[in-house]
This record gives sequence, C-alpha cells and structure tokens, in this order.
Amino acid sequence: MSQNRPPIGRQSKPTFARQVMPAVVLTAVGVGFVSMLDGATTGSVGLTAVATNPIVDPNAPTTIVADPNTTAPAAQPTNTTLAPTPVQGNSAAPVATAAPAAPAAPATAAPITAAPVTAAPSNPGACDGDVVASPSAQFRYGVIQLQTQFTTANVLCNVTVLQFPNDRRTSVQINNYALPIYNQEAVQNHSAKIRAVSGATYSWQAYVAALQAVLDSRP
Amino acid sequence: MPQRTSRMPIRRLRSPGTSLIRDTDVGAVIGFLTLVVVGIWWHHGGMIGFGNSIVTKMTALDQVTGLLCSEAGLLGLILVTRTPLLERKYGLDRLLNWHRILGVAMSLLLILHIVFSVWAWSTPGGVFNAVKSLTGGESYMALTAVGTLIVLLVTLSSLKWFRNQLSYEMWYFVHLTVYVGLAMSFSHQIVLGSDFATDKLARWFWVGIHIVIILWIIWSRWGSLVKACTRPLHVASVTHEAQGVTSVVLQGSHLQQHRAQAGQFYLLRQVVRGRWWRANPFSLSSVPTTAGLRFTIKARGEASEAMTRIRVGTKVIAEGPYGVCTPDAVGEKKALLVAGGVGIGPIVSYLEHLTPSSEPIVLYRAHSNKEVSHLEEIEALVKERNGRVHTLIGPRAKLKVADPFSPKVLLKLIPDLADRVVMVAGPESMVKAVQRGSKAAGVPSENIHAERAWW
Repeated sequence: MSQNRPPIGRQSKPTFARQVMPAVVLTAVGVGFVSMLDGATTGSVGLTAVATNPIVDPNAPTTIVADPNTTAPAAQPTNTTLAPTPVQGNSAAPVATAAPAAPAAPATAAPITAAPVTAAPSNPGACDGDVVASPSAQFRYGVIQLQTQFTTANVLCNVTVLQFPNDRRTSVQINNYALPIYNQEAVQNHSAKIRAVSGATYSWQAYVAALQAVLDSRP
Repeated sequence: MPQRTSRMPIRRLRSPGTSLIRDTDVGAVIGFLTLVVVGIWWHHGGMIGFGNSIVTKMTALDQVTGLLCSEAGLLGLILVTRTPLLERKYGLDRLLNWHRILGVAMSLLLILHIVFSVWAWSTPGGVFNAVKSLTGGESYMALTAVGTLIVLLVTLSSLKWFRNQLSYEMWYFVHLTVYVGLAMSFSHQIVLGSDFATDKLARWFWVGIHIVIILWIIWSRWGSLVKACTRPLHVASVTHEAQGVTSVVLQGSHLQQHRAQAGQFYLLRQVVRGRWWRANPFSLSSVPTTAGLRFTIKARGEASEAMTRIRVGTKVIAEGPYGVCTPDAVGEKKALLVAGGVGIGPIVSYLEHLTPSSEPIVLYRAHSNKEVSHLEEIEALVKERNGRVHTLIGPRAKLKVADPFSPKVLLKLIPDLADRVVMVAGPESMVKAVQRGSKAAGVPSENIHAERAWW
C-alpha cells in the first residue's frame, strides 16, 4: 500500500503565523466583544423597559423642589421605619449594618424606606441642593420610588428609597439587602451606573429606571 | 456476503485524514472562552464592582465561580462530541480522560459557587433562609437545585472508587442524566445571574454558545451513532485463538466507505436483545481491508466475554474508528513493538502495516503459553520485514530477570533501541514499565507511543 497517505497522528511543523494567528484573532474578538458589553451601567435593558413599557407612572409627582434653606431631616420621608436617624454629610454609615433590621419590617402597611445612605462628600456640607422625588417605577413585584438630592453643582449626592414592595417577606428581605447597595453605588458614581445584585435583578431594573428618569429631568 | 467481496478486489481501507487543528488552536479557543467569561464578569464590575462588604465580595465570587463552572462544563461537553477534528489529533482515550478531569474541575467550582452563594445570601436572613431561597424561594432555583444535585451525583459516580462499585449499566444511565441536570441549571443563569439577566449582548452570547454546543453534540456524537446504525456490519467468522481469546471478523457492504488504520479501535455493540445499548471498545488486530475488520478479544469482563461468544451472522454496530496510536508514527524509522497479553492484537496490525525498512522487533509478554495467540502469524510477518520476535512467557516471579523492561535488559536485547520508535499495547502496568524503561534507555518520549488502557 502506498505510504503517501497523510498519517493520522503526525502533522507537519506549523509556521509561526499558523500557531499565533488563532490566538491573536480570538483574543481580538474576545476583547472586542467584552468592550461592547453594557458594563456596570444602567444597561440598555432597564432603559428600554422604561421607554417601551409605561412602568414609570406619568401621574406620579416627578419633582419636589425643596426649599434650599430647609434642613435635611425635613426632606426625609416621614414613614421611616428602618432608618433610625438619617444623617447627612459626614456619616458613612455602612450599608450592611442597616440591612439586618429587615425581619422587623413587614408589619407596616405604609410604604417604608430602606436605610438612607449618605455618601461622605469630598466637600462636607455640599449636599444641600435640590431634593427631587423620582417617578414611581412599577415592576413585577411592586413599585420603587426614590428621593434624590443634588449638590448646588447639580451632582447627585444622596438617594433614599421612598417606596419599595413590602407585601412579601422575600421582597422585604431582598430589598432591604439590595437597595442600600444600590443607594451607595448611585451616590458613589453620581449616576445610575449600578451593578445588579444577584437575586435583586427586578428591583435593580426598577431602581435604575426611576433614578435615570430623575437624572434625565435634570438640566 | 462472500460473493460480493469476491467480486470486488480486496484493498486496504483508506486512512482517516490528519486533523487540521494544532495545540495552539485548542489553547486559543480555551483562552478565548475564559477571556470572554471572565471579561463579562469583570466588565460588569468584577470584584470591585460595588461596595466593600463581605456580602458584595461573596456575590462577586459566586458569580465568577458559577461562570467558570459553566465554562468547564461546556468544554467537557465539547470533548465528548467525539468530533473528528479533536479525535484525530488527540485520540478518544485522551479526550475522555480530559473530560473526566474537567468534570471534576466543574464540580469543585460548583461547590465553591454554592458556598459563596449561600454566604452572600445568608446576610439578611441567616443561612437557613439563604438555603430556602436558593432551593425554591427564587424563581427557577428549585429546578436549579435539582439539576445541581444531578450534576454532582454524576461526577461522584464517575470517581474511580464509586465507578468501580457500580455496574456499567448503572453508571451509564446515571451519566446520561447529566444532560437533564445541566439543562435544569441553565435556567437560573439567565434569569438570576446578573451578568446575563441585565445585559442583552452577554445573554445572547451565552445562549448562543449553549445552542452551538447542543447542536454540535447532536450532530457529531449522536449523528455518528445514527450513521453507524444505518450501516451495520455482521460477524463473518469467529476463531478460537487461545484460552479465552477469540478473533472476530466483521464484514459489511459498507466497508468500502470506511476509513480506518491499523492500531485504531472501534466501539462495538452487538445487536442482540439486552446488549444493543452498550458499546465497548475493541482494537483492530489486522490492517483493516474491504474484506473485513478483525478484532482479537479476550474474555476479561462480562462484555468482552459476551463478545467472545458472539455467533456468526450477528449484526454489529461499529462506531469509529478511534485512536491515534497508529504505525504512521514509525515513519521511516525502525520499530520496537511490545505486546502484553491481548495487546498482541494491535501489534499484529502495526506489523502488517510496516515496511521492511523498519526491521521490527516484537517483544511478546504473556502469563502462560495457553494465552499466546497469533504467534505464527507474527513470526511470518516479522520474517518478511527483516525483524525478529522475542517471547517472554510465564508469571512474573518465574522470569529470569526481575524487570524485563529495565533499560539494561532492553539495551542488551536491542542495542539500537534509542533509534527506534517504541509502540506498546497491553495492560497499564506493563505499558508504564515499557515507557519508563525505554525512556531511560534513551528513546525520546515523542517516539514512545501507547494507547491508554482506559476501558
């Protein structure tokens, strides 16, 4: 039998280009793909949802401009059940410590708030600009409404949650855990660039939609 | 069908072609998948995405371990597609071994994923509540929990110790359920995994890659089985060779289209009630020709024992051929062929394929004279090729030398050993001894070839 058939196991030595090309091409494709992703941002999903489904209630009060002279606590929601003392300015109250209060929550029927998180501004006392309530973002499990505050330079500096679904124990638990993280993220990034917390994806979508609506309404 | 074969001139089957892929391609694909998977996670925030608390850290870790776990699973599935590209490069034995390693890696990552998830979820409500949410509270998590359990059980059943406790049937059917387990677990990745739930592009990539691999499995793995079923062979002759050793010749009108090479093996399943679902690997024991495929089978286990008792005329479905340990490896060099017990089968097929320039030396190790088969055939083949045969028969304790495959003994017998290509077939312990001995005697490791005895 002729011996010139290609052997199974033996290949001719590949050229350098043949060896390197696949890696180069695939790395380029991979890097290109990853950079095309939405990133730790609002994501097109959340925003599209706002645009196509009227989950933002148009009748809801969209802005409450507070009197600039009003002291901070007056701007806070009245039904604060979880947050003991909303502090402004220099408090860097850790998010996680506010969360374990969760199991106490479900008793209240009225909207409750998650722990308000206040970032420590680089310039203390600057967080005294407009206070703006967001539209209510409706989603699968209920409604999320936020209250935001801006510095005089129009930078987002504080977010508190006015309303979140509290009819289910799981909802309360998840939101008590996730919303403070979203608050912290939003304030840290001064934007709606927030990463979803595992298990709180729906809340994330509503939160981002609400926050983005406020930010879009700002000059 | 003797009439048909007598009309056609007998010729050797064409050799399966060389695989087009290279090691570097495999590395590039694995690197690409890892880059994208870790890249998705990193781009969505990675470790530093949000906050600094232990909860957020655990969430990030549970995401990345989950993603890598899936990647290991997907790569493991690619290996069992038996796609010719990979099979002809590495051989089915090595692919299945890597499949096993990836399976274990996947399960370790899965356990980490579970630990990190429970940790992350237990902060608001305690471990008990976390477990409750993760096994049913959250949408699709009940499904996922069952799927996870299946995947872990399958891995456990494939660990050497458990595998040995189980019958083949039991192991095989448990193993098949892994498809169900993986499908059940997939749901939560898309619905709850924030990397995919909130990013359309990432989600479509992830769904797409799963669809591609499913189609690949259907096409390559199950398609090749269907193809083998549509062109079954039949037993043309059964010859008693030695005690417990039988050679079986399979013929069929479709052999013309087969591509096979000496040294390869087939997965054979008898189309007989109670056996049709079970395929076992057997090596060719002669150069495959259009006149038939010969297999030399030793009754070692229940399945091979049944194969030695097969009746002439029985239909056999032959999947394959597989394996890359073929005499092509010898090339223009000289050869040393070492056979242990029934490993003589593939050695005969190598010999037939070799040319006189290889001056083959055959070492034939067997435990007793009763086991020796094909000896006359080998002597004739070797004579035609300017080679010689050495037999080494008897229980190990009665041999003249303590280790017949020590470099000293090998070199004394074969002074030009270092210039030869060594091919071994036989029990694992002997294969290892030969590999060790010939390496120490100066044979470069790329010139030592053996099929892993994985069955």
